Amino acid sequence: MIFTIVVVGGVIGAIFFIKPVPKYYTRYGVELGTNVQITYATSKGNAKQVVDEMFKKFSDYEEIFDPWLVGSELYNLNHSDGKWTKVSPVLLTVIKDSIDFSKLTDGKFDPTVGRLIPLWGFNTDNTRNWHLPSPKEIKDALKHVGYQNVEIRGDEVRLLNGVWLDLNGMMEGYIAQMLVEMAKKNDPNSTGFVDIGGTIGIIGPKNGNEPWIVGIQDPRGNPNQAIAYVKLYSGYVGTSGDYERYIIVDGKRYYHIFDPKTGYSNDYLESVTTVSTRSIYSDGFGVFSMVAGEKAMKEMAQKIGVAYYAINENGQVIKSANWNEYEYKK
Amino acid sequence: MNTKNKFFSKWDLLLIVFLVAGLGIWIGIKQFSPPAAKAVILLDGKVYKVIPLDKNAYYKIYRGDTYLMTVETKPGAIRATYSTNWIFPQTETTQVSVATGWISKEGETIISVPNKIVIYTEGSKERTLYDAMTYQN
Repeated sequence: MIFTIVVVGGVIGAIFFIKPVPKYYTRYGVELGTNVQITYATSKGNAKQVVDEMFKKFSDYEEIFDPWLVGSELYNLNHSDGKWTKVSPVLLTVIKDSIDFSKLTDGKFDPTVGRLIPLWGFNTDNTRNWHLPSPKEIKDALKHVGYQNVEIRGDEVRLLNGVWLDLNGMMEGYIAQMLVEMAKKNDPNSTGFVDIGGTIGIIGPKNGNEPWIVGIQDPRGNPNQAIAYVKLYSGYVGTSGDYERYIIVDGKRYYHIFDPKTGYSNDYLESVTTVSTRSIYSDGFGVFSMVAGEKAMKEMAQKIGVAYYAINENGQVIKSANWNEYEYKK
Repeated sequence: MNTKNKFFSKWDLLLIVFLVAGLGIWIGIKQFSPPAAKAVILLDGKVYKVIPLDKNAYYKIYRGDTYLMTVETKPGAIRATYSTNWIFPQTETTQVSVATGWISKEGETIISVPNKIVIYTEGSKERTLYDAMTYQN
């Protein structure tokens, strides 16, 4: 009889005292020309409703940031013929952050490479349009590149010398941050993550106290094949690389991140994954590193306080000294 | 001499038998029941089709009358075999959705950005070690 009491008491105790595991809702989609996944759990309201609200925001972001969408805010700015143009606070923030990082990197990161992108056809997802432009076309486009041509006055922006902005180097990180903030506003104790095209922002630890495990895609493997893993309780992780938007011509690989000085991609690195507490660096640092190479990558990481896991052109792994804090081993 | 055990009665033994049997049945169901794996195909963010992954078959995906992709299934797995956003041979560009190959674990996806198609599996016994994947954007 005592045994029965102990067992029944134990079961009742377990029911009352074991903390319930959060029930996660996950939604996938293709937004902003990339894959999106949001996984979310909250004790305040319905997780699905919150995630659906987050997904509704993507059309707003597209109307702001898509430089190739006729009539979008960025399209209009790029076609404003050098006139002062009032921009929304969201666009202004990303432009300011991009220009600040351009200055910090002495132009290795530069959002004014906009005119180079359609030249290669990388502004479309249709691979038939991807091609190697002529040297003359690149030389002509380079005349319209240079972050010094972006002027900011209050909430107005002026683009001189015919430059076009492409904010992809920071946009996804910033949008991830806005969605994380939206989720936390609904419930400060909510947990989950936002994944926008491989740029991931953590809403809160998995099940309240565990890290989320993020795979780093093998740059020469298939999209579900991880070469290493990151554990994250908070912050952001993003990757830049040479393996999705690329062409190979006469055995040479050309990809979509251009050196603003030459108009061509560099072949220093295959992939750079960045962990940062700041969303803008989770993408921006990788773009900078793909252009600037290993030595500059190491110096800049120390300067801005990010951790990185990179793979160079020989397939060798290069890690920042603080990478161990984030590395997850099987 | 009282031989009656104060700790265990016959009802206790019965409870133990029930618990052990229940545990055994539960483990048996979890371990030996066939996986009810299925593939969920999203088109434009909405569920287009849910396919049980229990046989070898091919399915075509359309947006309205426009053909977009063919997927192949086998027990427990699915892959894209053809997508209309085809390879441009001169530049050796690979087509991500087709190059992804078979997926079978929860957490794996097949993505066609141009066609706005996402495919993932549910109900599979295995899942990926990772919760999400970071990749170039």
